[in-house]
Amino acid sequence: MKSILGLILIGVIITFVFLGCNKLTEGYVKGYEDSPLLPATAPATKIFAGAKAAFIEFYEGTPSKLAAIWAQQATGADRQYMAFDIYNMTANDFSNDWFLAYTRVLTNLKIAQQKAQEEGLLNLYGAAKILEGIHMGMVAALWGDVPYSEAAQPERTLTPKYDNQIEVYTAAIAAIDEGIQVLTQNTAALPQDLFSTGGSTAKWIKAGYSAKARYLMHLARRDNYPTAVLDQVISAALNGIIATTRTGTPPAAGYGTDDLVFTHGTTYQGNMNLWHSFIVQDRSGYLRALKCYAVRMLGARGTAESGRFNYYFTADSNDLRTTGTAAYAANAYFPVIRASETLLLLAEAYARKGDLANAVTYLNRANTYTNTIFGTTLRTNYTTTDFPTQADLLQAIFNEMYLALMHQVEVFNFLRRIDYQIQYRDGAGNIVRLTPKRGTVFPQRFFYPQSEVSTNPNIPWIQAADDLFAKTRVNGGTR
Amino acid sequence: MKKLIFSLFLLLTVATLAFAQLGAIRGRVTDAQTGEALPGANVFLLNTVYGAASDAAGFYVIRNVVPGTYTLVARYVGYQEFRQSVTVTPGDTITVNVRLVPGLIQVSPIVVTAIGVEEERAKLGTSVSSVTGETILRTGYTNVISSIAVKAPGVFTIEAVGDPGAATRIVLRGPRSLQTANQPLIVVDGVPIWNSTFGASVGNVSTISRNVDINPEDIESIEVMKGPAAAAIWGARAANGVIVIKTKSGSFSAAKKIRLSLKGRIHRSELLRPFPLQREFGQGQHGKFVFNGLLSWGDRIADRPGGPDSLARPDYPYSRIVEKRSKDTYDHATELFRKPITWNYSIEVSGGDEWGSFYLNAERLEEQGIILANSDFKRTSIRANVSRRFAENITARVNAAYVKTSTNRIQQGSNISGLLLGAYRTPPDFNNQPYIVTYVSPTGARFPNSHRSYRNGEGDPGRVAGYNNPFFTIYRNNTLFYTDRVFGSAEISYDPYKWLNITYRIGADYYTDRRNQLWPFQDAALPSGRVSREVISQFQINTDLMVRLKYQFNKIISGSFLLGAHLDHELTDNTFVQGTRFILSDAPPYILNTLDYLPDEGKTIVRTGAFYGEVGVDVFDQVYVRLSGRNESASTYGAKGKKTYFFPSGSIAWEFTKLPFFTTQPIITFGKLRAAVGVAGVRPPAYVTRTYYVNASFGNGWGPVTNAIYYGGGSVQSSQLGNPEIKPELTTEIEYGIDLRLLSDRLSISATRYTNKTKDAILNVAVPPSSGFSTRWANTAKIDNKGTELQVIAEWLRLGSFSWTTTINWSQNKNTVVELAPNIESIGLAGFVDPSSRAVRGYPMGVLYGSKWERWTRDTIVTIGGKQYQFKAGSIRVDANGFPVPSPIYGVLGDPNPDWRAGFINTLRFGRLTLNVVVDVAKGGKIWNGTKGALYFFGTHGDQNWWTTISADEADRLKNYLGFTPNQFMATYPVERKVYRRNPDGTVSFRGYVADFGGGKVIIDEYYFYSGPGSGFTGPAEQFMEDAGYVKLREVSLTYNLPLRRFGLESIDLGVILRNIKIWTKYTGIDPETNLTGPTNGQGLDYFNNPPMRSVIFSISVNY
Repeated sequence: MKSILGLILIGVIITFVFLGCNKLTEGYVKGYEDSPLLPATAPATKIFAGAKAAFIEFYEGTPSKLAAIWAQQATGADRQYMAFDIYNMTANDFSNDWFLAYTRVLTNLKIAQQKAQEEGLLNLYGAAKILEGIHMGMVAALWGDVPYSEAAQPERTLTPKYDNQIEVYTAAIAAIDEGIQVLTQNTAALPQDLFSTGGSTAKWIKAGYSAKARYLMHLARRDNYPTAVLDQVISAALNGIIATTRTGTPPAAGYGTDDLVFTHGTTYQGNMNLWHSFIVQDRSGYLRALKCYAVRMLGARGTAESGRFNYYFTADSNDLRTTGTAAYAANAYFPVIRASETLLLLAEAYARKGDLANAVTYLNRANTYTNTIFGTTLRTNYTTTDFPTQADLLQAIFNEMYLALMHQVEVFNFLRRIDYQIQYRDGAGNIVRLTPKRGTVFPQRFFYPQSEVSTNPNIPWIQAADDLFAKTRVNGGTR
Repeated sequence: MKKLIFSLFLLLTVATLAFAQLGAIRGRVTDAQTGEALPGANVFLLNTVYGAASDAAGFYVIRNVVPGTYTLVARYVGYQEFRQSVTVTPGDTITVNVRLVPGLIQVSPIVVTAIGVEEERAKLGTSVSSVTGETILRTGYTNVISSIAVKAPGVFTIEAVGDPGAATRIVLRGPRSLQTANQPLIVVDGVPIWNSTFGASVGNVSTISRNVDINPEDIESIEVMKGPAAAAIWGARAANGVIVIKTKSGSFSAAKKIRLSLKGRIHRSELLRPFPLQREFGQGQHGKFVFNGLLSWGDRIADRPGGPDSLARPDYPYSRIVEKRSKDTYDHATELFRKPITWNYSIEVSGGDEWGSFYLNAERLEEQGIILANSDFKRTSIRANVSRRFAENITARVNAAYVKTSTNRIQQGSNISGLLLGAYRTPPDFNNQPYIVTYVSPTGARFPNSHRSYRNGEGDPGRVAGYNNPFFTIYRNNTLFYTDRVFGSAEISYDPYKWLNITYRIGADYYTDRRNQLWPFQDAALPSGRVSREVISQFQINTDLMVRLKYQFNKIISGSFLLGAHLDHELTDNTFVQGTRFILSDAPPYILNTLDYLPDEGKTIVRTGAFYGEVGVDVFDQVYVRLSGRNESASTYGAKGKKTYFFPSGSIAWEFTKLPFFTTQPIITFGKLRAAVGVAGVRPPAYVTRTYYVNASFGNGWGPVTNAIYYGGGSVQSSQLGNPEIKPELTTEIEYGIDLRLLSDRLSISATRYTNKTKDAILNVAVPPSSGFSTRWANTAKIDNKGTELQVIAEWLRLGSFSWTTTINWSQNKNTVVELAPNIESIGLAGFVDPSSRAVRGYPMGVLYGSKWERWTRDTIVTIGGKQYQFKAGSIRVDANGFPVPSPIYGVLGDPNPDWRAGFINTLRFGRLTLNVVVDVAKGGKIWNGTKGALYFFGTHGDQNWWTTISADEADRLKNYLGFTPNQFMATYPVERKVYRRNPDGTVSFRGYVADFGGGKVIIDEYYFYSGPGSGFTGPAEQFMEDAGYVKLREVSLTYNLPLRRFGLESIDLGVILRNIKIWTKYTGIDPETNLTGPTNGQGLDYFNNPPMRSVIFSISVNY
């Protein structure tokens, strides 16, 4: 009797278990699959804001510091930055920046554009297109052949191909053109803007034109500055950021009325100026002035430059200034495109075309801007007779551009475009040229990052140490 | 589920409560050597209420035992525990004579299996290693994981750093998962508990694993189930093995005697050995003194005039040194350490009778670190284990512990607030005392509490510290973690028939880990200060309902059957807030005293539900077959795939010595062949099945961060691509082996060979960032482990009451990452950008990966200085001056996993005196001496006291890294640099040496180290890889058991334990058994890790 009862008991248990088994356990775990804290989507406005924040981190981050070091507008003075100072780079030094450029900036710009179209926010779409163009032009300038036509489209491929640098430039300019066209028809102010435009679509359009002029000038170099391209540069630049008046809210320093800049607050790891954060909070001693070339050049120009000198450097010429209303105060703005750059592009384009009168006009306008912003007392009344030859005028424009692009990523692109031909006269009247810190050649590109080298079979070639000094296509290189 | 449980209970209550006819056990307890009777010995049936004490003639009898199979245990002070399986049949009295052996601790014949059920070891088809509580206590370690190091084969442990309470990594039979740290599941009294490690990083303080909350005193035994073959019953939590801990219970006493033990321990610790630092050259560069200089490439201290330094402002004693005159140097390698002495004590009360038993323990532990202050680990633990019989066949038990720990920790590692980073980089001629000064400015303004460091020797608050003064780190840079934890289980067991048992068990584990950290004002890392508060809390509840049957079908076959249901619910949450930039610099640390806040939180809930079963068949009482299976669902499995997976296992053991042939021979007393196979898994991490949107906050790797919150807020797509098809990773393990006991059990040999193959290992696969994601979750990796485990126990000598036994535990594991993901060569596990510990296809998991020398791709002839030099393909490339060239591309640098690991345990026993010596040997393996790499840059490493003189001719010919010959150099920098010194005879002396990299002789001077590739900052990590093999005298313990049957006493135990006494190694750092990133998968990184200590522990235990 007892064993029968027992057997029945076992039988019942087994039946229970194997009939209801999966259903019971799966029922128990159901409803706990998804994160209780994270969303699965977001609206276009917030994604665009996110992409713009990433753009700040990229543009104002390491690329600008490397550009400054290699342009000798600052000095790498501690550990890895000492190596950067003498061009000792590895592929991995660029992984963070590439990640920001693609996964953070480009990807979220593309998502924002798609959502903006779905949500009917065409002004946001246009601004995002312009930013995409500005951004990808920069990425192509820094790395050469890069993914674009297949990039940031994970539904299409996870291993995008690398496009020819020239095609990326063309596509970036096309994106700017599309953005300008859309914004021209959709002029409502953007609901949220992290940059200095205040959401103004007119300012976004100007930024687009300035960037277009910049990239057309990059392209022009390859074919030795053909007139047709120079005319396009002039046409774009004239619609760009060229206002020489001043804006900006005290106590932060001022900038040009139409300038595209990143505005900052004082919150550390929040909205603080990233150079201030780096120099004061994060990596004290890594990035200094240490009487670098730009310091000496400004010094040699005398009291006329004291406003700009004090804006960027400490009185002992050893450090970047991080206090008061200086360039690297906690809440100092960081420039993306200044009017002086576009004005000097105009000057250069006219000078190269042989229209020296116009060239001098825009050189004077650029100096007017510099005087307004930095309190310098540069001459604004140059005439063509001040420059014996076209080359002299061009050299003067280059020298001004070198200082106008102080500490921006673009200074690296610009210097490569003019083969680092910067010079000044020292107190004794000797010409002092910009020369490499080590060896006889200057860096010509960024390495493809280790993160891409080890994952993307489309990487164009296996890099060696010397490749840092190989020109990109746009500067006459072959890859 | 609730319905099911209810129905089962209903069934159980309906079943009649029938009492079977009872049986009895009798016998005599004697000394195995002398044959003398042992009166007052306790004899009882394990985990039951049955027991008795032996009388004056040694006889005992246990009456009224419900028929069934039990474990009979006999205990007597000073003797080895006796255990034997007995089967009580209705109405019969069986006889079991107990011969107690004085002496050695032997492996218990009874094993607690993965689900907390007892099984005879002889019947196991897997190799389960056991460690007794006594062995654990004898090691002197305060955490359980460290104490089982080399105590069993197949167990690979590594202590991360020397801080009290620091995490120890344990890996059983090799790592097989990339997304977890490969730590085994810890099961206490049948219920899993947390052993989490949070906050392992290359900087900050060393972290803690939560196994520190287990009081070693409470442990009766530990069984190590090394992989799926033994542990498959735990399904997707068991791929890394299971450590089954059984806590103590009160033992039966016929006289209802309450046992009381008072224990005290004195700990004394000191630095294991100092790190080599040079004291010949001072602060500065170019061979000259530089006040506040970063480097120690200054002048030769012996050449100074001596006497006090000449100061810029004689009224302020720490003002700028204008001329360095003093020859004083300071020992930065040892000045931070002390030899602390601490007391620990515990009280234990236990007892038991035929109706129940209890065990109570209270412990107070204080472990002081060797760092001067603020480095400690404290634990207060209270445990109560109580069991009670309600009827002949219903027993309930509750085991519960409350533990409070607190620990002060010191900043370490790659961290400019870190202790040794600042200490070792300090020039030998800079006195780090005082670390706090009242700074007086040139205008007379006073700034109290200013941080003075070697890069800010004046303590000027207007300058930054550079690196923390190590004393500032110790005394000001405070970190306190404190934890409250409750864990335990309750169980009710019902035996309606002698062949049927029903058990319901519920276990809970809950803790909160509070972490308070402070970087004061003027801290090097955060000059404006930071305070952080973090509360990590974890909770899990596990329930099991098990039905077990045992049945003897006939004389040939007997069988057992088990069926169980398991549910668990695991919650992890985390609240974090930090404030940066203090408003009042000297106020107590408080969030609202800061300008910038950053809060964060995290929360995950994981649920698992499973049914499991096991069938056992014993044939002829010599062939034992076990089959088990678990059908499991978990909330982390992807919605698009299956939600339920099946984890089977099977084993077979054949005790061939039960064949008639063996009964007649005297050599082999026991022999077993065994084989087992099992599949277990690792669950995917929570919430990887979809792609989320995250707050738009971005860093670039150097510190600066842009957070869109401060611009009105933003949101971006996560860079991790979710995978709705994610499934558990599956490890299949096959093991086979042999267990032999020879020569009257004086020699025991156990050998096991295993392979475990993991497929579908979960990987956050790197994808090209240009795709829009940087990683995607996938089941793509394949990882294999193959290994051999050998245990030999030999009693060499037995002479009267003297005996000598040697145990050798030898393990070898070969791990291979067979596949990661298509196109993926490697993924990072931990460490730096250069080097990192990575999984690289075709290599063992965790290989170090980083920068290397560039090598010639083909045989090459190079002309250097007019001479031709030949280089073979693969040799290091040299530049135009003959110096080696770093490659921009990274590669594999070495494998941190040892070739084999062995423990040699010698136990000498003379009467009641026992000497135990444990030697730990690790052969092979590589470690990155990042500390040395960094110090080579600074010029403070002990190697860098070179002083070389070269001939005048060489001084004209040999070039340094900058391309100068010494003579050219002196001509170019006649005054401002003093790197070279021309001697009267025309020879030239300098700090450095002459080297030849294959392209002729070159001069290695200071420029090679900070401008050239000679240091870890400026050159390849490859040059700092070292052999990590070692021989370590891990433990020497001497214990004496003094029987004292007076004043109500039973005995007094006295002991001296020497822990981590001596190390023999080629490694030039302090100890190759270290790891910066704690118990993570990334291993082999030494970068200013807090140093290990050695300890002497005196213990006394008074037993009533």
